[in-house]
Amino acid sequence: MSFFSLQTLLPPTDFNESELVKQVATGDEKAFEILFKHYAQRLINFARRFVFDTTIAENFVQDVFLKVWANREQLDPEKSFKTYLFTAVRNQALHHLRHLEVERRSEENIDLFPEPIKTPEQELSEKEVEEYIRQAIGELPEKCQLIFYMNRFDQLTYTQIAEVQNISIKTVETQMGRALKYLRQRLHQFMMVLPF
Amino acid sequence: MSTSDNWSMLSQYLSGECTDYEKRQIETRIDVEPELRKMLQFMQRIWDTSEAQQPSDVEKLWNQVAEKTGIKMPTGKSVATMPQHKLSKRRYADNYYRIMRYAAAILVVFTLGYFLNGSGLFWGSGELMTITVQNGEREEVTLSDGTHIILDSGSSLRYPKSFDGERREVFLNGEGYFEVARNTDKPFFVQANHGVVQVLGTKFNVRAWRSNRNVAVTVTEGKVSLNSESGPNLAASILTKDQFSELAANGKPTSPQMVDVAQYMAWMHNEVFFDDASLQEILFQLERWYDVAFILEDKTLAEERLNLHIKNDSIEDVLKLIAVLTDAKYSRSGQTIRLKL
Repeated sequence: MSFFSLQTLLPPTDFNESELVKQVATGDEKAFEILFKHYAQRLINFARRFVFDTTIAENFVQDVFLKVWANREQLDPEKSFKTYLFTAVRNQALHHLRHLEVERRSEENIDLFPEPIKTPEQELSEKEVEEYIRQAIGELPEKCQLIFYMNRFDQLTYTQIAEVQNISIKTVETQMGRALKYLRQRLHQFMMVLPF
Repeated sequence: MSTSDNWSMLSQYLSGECTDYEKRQIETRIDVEPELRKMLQFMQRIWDTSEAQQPSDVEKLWNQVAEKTGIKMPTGKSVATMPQHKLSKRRYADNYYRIMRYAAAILVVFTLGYFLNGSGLFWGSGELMTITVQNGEREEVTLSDGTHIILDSGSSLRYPKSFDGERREVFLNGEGYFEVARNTDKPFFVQANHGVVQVLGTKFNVRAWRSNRNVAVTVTEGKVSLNSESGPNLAASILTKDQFSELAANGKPTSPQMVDVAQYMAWMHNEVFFDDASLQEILFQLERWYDVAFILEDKTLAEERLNLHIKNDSIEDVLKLIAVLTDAKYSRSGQTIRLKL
């Protein structure tokens, strides 16, 4: 039984990125549309972690794709287009943030373990538990949270995260481990009540 | 589990990032350390929780990009006109659940893996046999206690050579019709996905594909109990003749519901009814029945919903029907069928 192979189900197997990129390089508009629609939502979600404003996040993603189209002849199908997109959106977002001089949240909140409003003995609906889990993920230190999100929700591999964030794979590993440890501590009270 | 290295390794395991060697190491430990297994299942659950996000109107964004780049919009029916991308605010909730379902599907095999891999250790009565039905085929198997099972294409069943323990227990992935030999001293259990079906002696159908995590039970005779693996006894759904209940991922069994049982059993006679089913769901069944592979060139097709009744039809006839209903074109080379708009 291979559980890892399931990761490759997303994106579906009929999505051939490098083939599509090759087509875009030759000016194929349909291929460009497929790529846009494939990645847009994920990139917007990713950008929103930097800017918290959906419209701005959407604009970043549109701008990145406009650049891709403008420079389509220079696309290299051998390189990961996905990594390129996430890196471009990240740079766009950071550029924007530098202008705004937005205050970064502190990394220190790793030590805080807010108590849940209800104890596990009380009836918890499935939705409430999901909400607690999301809340706990939201409490991770900023850097750690971003890496966790990139892996879990943006479906980037450790290597891709390392490239996009310009950090070492070792750092990604450490941060993911940190996230897991924190979530375990933060949510251990649900361990007995979660259905599997 | 205290050092940070261990946590890194576990997160790598959950992310599918560790080496084969590390994977084996962890899986060996899972087999012998129930606490670790429990903890990993718990972490898996956290891993599976999706992100709450309001989807953007990708279609609108694309149109803006297309305009700015001077790309002319295609005329007629295109990906652009497919319903999936028309995300009105009203539909956010639907989408949210759709995303949740995908998220849940990603790692579904994982949880089940524990029970299958661990089964030898934990139920350890008699040697376990596995029967896997090839696509395009159907198989019947009679167990040592006289229980008779018909398995649909692509299904697999694990069962002990002989039932030595206090209970009779089998493991199903897929769809099967069970005629369980009566033995009140040894209850019969079907473990499927995260569900448990318990019976004494009766006839019923179980549909539990690992890929969608659901467990659906329909009863033709006698009494059957359906519950989630971890559910309290009180939560079990007790089904009798002509009743249906299903267990959604992580959910409780639905209350028994009267159905036309014949429709649920029709697969045994090469017949199937799809009622407002997604094309993806339908193709999944067709792939197994006709031993073909589908490639969707337009991914939006996957979410098209249709009503379809297939009875002894050839794959060509079914394809023509789908083409008409979805407005898609198909091309076939060998066992591979491509669908596009």
